[in-house]
Amino acid sequence: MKAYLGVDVGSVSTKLIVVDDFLNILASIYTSTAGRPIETLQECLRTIHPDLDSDIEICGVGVTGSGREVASVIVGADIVKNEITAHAIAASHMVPEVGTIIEIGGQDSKIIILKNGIVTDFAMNTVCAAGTGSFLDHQAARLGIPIEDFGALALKCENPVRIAGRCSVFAESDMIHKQQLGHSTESIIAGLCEALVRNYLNNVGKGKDIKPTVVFQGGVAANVGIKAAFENALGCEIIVPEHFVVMGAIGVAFLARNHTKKVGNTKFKGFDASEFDYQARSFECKNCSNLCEIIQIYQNGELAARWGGRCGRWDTL
Amino acid sequence: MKITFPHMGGVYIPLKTLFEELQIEVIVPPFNNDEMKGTGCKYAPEYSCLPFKLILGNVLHSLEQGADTVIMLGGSGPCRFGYFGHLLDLIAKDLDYRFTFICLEPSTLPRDIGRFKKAAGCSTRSFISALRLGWAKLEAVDTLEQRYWSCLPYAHDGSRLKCMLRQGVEQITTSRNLSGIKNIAGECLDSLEDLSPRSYSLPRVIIVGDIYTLNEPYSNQDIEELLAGRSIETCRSIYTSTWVKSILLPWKRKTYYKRAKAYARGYLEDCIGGFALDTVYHAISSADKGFDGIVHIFPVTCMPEIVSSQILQKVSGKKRIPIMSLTIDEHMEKTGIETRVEAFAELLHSKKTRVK
Repeated sequence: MKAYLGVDVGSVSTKLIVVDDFLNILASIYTSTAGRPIETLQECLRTIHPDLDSDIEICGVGVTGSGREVASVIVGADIVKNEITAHAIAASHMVPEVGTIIEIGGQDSKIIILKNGIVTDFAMNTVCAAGTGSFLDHQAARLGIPIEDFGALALKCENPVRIAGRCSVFAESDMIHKQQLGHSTESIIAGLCEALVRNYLNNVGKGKDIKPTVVFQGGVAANVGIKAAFENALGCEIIVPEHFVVMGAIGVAFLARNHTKKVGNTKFKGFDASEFDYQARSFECKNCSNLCEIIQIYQNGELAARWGGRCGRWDTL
Repeated sequence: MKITFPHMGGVYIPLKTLFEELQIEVIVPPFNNDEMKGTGCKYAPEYSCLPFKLILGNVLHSLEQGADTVIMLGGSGPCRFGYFGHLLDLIAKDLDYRFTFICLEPSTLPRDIGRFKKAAGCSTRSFISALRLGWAKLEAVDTLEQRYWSCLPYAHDGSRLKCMLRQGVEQITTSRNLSGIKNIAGECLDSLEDLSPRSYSLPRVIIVGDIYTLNEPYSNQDIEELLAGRSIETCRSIYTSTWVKSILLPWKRKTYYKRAKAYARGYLEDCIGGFALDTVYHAISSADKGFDGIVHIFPVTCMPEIVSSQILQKVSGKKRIPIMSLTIDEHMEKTGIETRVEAFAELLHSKKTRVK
């Protein structure tokens, strides 16, 4: 059976999915990138392989996420695509009437506005990761609450306290201050959810024409507290699609499917790619005053890819 | 006198020419790179913007090389930029560098010109001819660059085009007479056009923001090149030469601001510092001229541009033109900016095909 692999190597988590020709999910993996994108991706390939039926043939591979360049070398990608397009494609496939996508991941957050399935506007947080998954993770750990229970706890509270959501560091000191005053953990968590939503709408969502249907995806969509805070702030229902964490990977698998159907073959290196030895090395090019940092990826000791130069000097291997 | 000045795109070309013609020794700092940024970040106030940090890095580097006079295009504008020169002066003096600081501002310009003339021991006439030569170079280089960015996405061989531009700029930089500059620029413009035939039309984007970020490729992360790589034709709203021309001469300044305010009416009624009014004006006028998109790029903590970025959202909605806002800071994460540029380019291409 024909199948397609979608890979999303994010800053915090790595997602792998295998879909059939009709985008039904055959297998999926969601794991922590743990700061080692290469090893994590190889481990994922190793884990997902036995889950697949023996008659499955990977006919196309797409990669996305901030680690997409490295990932494309390792898996042999047919298509390398930015997360914005990947998320938009998956959402408009799963929820055809989608008008707005709220996506909050480990370190970034974005808003995508669509009309008839086509992206008409988007924005992404630029210099600050306040209000993203990493921060929620950190707070959950600090309070000793499993991240899975975080959102449900927020829903238990009726009087959320006001937390400054402008900056993660300030939010944290504000939370500690409220906690020392004796506020309950629930009300602090609920306050944090509201603060993050306020910050998101004021920052990424500022000036955007948020129209239903609103779809919420990315890792943070697992948090029912944040979802409720969004519904409250926007005054409309918010849909969290079934596969909200792997939407980027689904989108890029879909693109790989269309692309390889046109081209006729795939560059997929096979699941054996998980056994190759990959090493990334970098050096500073001293050829001009730009001093570019050049990154080289070696596969079993041989140079497989290189990037980072501002001129064309290092483009060819 | 050993003179130095910070970089801002091609500004070093006319300044170097001016002082070399006057036989004053010039120290041009290396083009901006991580080292410049590192030095700037080390000594600048943490909350100052990236342009300030780079400028400080440039100046400290030159002082280390033995420069004894630092000039800066000060500008007594209401933006913090007006104070940057003085802040830079204080920081460098605190680090025990001994030098003369000259902040070029309209009010003190005649006095400063007198200083240069005295140091060079030259007549007013030769000063003016040196100035004219430098000015001609700046105008020529800016014209070439402008044409280059408009041609690049159409070129079959982008690297050849880049080579053309580099050669042209180099020849202009070393040329010593006005007619020579004109000829080189003319020939270069022709070859740029010849190498990039336009049998179809690509989406065209205006890039707006503060003058430094627009004109200094290191600080805007080569935004024009990234967009060109995605088949987007770009136009920079402010070039140093066009800006100096419209601002420095009092009668032109009046017409410029009159026009800018007329366009910005209903969005921003007056000059609020920095380049906010220019940003709004250029965004609106370009939307009216039929551009397909706006890219707004500015450094973190730049107050005037923070204001204009909010206004541009309104412009985008009313004029139905897509806009992408990019905030630049010390961290240079290439993937992040590529993600946004790629998505924006796809949006523009799909819009263009749909309209067809």
